[in-house]
Amino acid sequence: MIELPIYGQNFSADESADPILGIDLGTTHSLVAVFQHGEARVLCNEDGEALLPSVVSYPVDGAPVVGQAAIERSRLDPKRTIFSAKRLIGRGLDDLAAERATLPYDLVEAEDREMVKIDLGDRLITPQEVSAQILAACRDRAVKQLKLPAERLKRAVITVPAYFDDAQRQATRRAAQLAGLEVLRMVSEPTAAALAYGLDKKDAARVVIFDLGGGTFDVSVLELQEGVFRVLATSGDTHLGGDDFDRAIMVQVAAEIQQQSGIDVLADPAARIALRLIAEKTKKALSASESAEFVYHDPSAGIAFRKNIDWRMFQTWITPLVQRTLNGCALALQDAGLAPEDISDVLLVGGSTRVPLVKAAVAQFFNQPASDELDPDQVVALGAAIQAGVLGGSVRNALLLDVTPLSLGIATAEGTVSKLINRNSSIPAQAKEGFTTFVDGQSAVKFTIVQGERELAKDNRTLGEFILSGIPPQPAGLPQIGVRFSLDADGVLHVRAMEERSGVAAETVVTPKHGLTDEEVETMLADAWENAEEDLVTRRAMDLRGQLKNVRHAVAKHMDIARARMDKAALERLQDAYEDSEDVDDISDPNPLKGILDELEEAANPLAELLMNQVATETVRDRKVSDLIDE
Amino acid sequence: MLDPFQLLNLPRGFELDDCVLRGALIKASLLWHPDRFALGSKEEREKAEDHMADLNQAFTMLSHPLQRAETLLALSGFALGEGTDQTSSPTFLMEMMELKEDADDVLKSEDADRIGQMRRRIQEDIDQRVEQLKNSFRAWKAADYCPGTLTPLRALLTEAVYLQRTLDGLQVTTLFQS
Repeated sequence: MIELPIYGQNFSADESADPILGIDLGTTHSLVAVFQHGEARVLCNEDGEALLPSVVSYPVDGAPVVGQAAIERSRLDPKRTIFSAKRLIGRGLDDLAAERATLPYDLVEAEDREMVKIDLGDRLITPQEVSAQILAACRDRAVKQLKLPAERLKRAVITVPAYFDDAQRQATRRAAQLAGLEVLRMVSEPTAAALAYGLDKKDAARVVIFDLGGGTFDVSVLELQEGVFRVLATSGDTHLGGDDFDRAIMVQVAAEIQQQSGIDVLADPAARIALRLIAEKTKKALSASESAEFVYHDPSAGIAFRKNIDWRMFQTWITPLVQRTLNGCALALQDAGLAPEDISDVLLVGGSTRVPLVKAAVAQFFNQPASDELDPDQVVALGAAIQAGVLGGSVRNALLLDVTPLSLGIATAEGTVSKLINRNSSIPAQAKEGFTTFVDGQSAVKFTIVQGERELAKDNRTLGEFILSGIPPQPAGLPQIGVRFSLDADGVLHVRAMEERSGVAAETVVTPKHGLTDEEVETMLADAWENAEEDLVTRRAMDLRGQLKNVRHAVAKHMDIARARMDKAALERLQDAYEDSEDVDDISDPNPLKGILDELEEAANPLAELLMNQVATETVRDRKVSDLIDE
Repeated sequence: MLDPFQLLNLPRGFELDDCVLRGALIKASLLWHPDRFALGSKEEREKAEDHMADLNQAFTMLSHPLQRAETLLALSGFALGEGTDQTSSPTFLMEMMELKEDADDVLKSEDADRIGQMRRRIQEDIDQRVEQLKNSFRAWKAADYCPGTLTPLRALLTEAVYLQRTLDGLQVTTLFQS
């Protein structure tokens, strides 16, 4: 960022305008801050607590409970109390294989796309809905503290991790939408931290942001040059944080209790929770003083344990954990192509950086003291509020110019990637690329949108598939399909395709595989109103009948190929499924319709493969269209 | 075609200081970045988003000297690579083929020192041609942009572009870790 005279005419600071919320939507805690009277401040609840636990509990009857109250329900109702929704947002079940085992609640795969849902037992909810509850609680806190009606607190800046991909960013945006908040800007967490520390006032800096929270560790290397923040590298460990420090104390103490009394206290869930809480208190005490007393009494089990823990013991126990964070720092530096001495500033973020050993280890690694003037829990939220101040016009001399961390492109027929927007491009960015069809009369083209740096499409992350249909019949190669990528200032991608030659414009917008369609968001919003259910059933049945019609049309069209080339059993199954799906207009219940559709689709799979292979042999080399479908 | 010089309010020419270019982008961004219209109407925001994307693209087109040279030729209607371009000498093409083979070998060796050495060598060759390009552009301007004086300039640029491609191919892709 740079300070320059402003020539603009289009903005003026208006202190009476509605404040824009700066929200740090964290894995374990969330915070809300505002920029008012020339400074950013975090809003607390009635008890003076700034941290809102990112936990939502769903009682069987009654409204969802958020925050500390939800934590208190967790023991009662572990399967209906959702922690760590941020780990799930915008992700599919495949991405979460390792995560799943550690969660007390159940995950299921959603039907059509791969987006994960949470099974409460009597209903499914999405991670977006959970995050929406947390965001709404943040807004409610602002309503109380600022004494403003909710209608005046509808706009927010929300922070996301630097490594969040397009699907995760879009899902976060949807969560805000569900909470009735308009996201004016999403800012990456390390950039927000750099803003909070006022690094934007420097001409050039290379900054390491060391963020050790309750359950996650992120380290980012940012380069700041005349107003532009670039994320050079990020690394970390999604399962490393202060909770592990608590666990280290608990395990040591439990071993000693067992030695003294012969009782395995960790086997008892209630005792385990009690020990964890005492361990956490001990850890916090050790950040301020040289030693702390660990006291645990359980008269019913005959345990009376008392131990003085000094910082040396604690240091020994957590050294392996701290070493892991340093390994992460080394990896991030290596990725950025930098050495520790190239770093001009080191910022500490996250409550666990209060532990003196962590602070000392980071300072030693980078050979300079790390900045800890701001409350490490609040840094990111404060940065979000400053950005909110920029957007609201209160902060006049700052402008955040961001870059996209990953390249975006389209998978080609050869399995490579045609890049439209390169990594490190300043955003917003737009790019256009021309494509055409392979076969005569082809009416639809399917594009696969990928994000990443690898050469082969399969090694990158697939963001979504995108079908342009309704192309008027023309000889192969004649249609001119312009695909336009627009990456907005939040790093969210919009894709449009248009067939230009015929003058008949067909246009659509990408649907991320792990995200929600606009329709789904509408559906969820509608769900909040009570009597919407019936409409939904009807609409779903209509959608399914429409899909059935399309599949039947495709099957009928290629029946001669099916007869000639499919094996007998598969052909019979297809013919049966085709007949069974003929009369569906009377069926109003979506469930049997879905069954019929699934069967037909499955039976038609071998035929689709045959057609695909046929297309592959007809493919002209070096054409870029990834794939095609035929209606 | 988008004229990046006009968009960024810079004089059209090959010689352009990095700081001047970056300053031009920042100056334009302060006026046009969508954040400046965060509270504006939807139309205003979309317009700002589009315009800022153009500005960013203009910046990219001018930030690398070879791309800047190609842009200048294209703006004058003499874009490189269109039509038959017989400007490169056969000797140079032979050299390039050998260089490409060497580059493939070095890359396969996965020896960071050797890769680094070769990258530096190619970069020097490119830098040398960029220096020569400055003179060529001056000569072209002095000849009042007469197309006849373009042949040596185009040959030089084509060579530099070949070298740059080889250099780009010599990069070990660093991946974004998450």
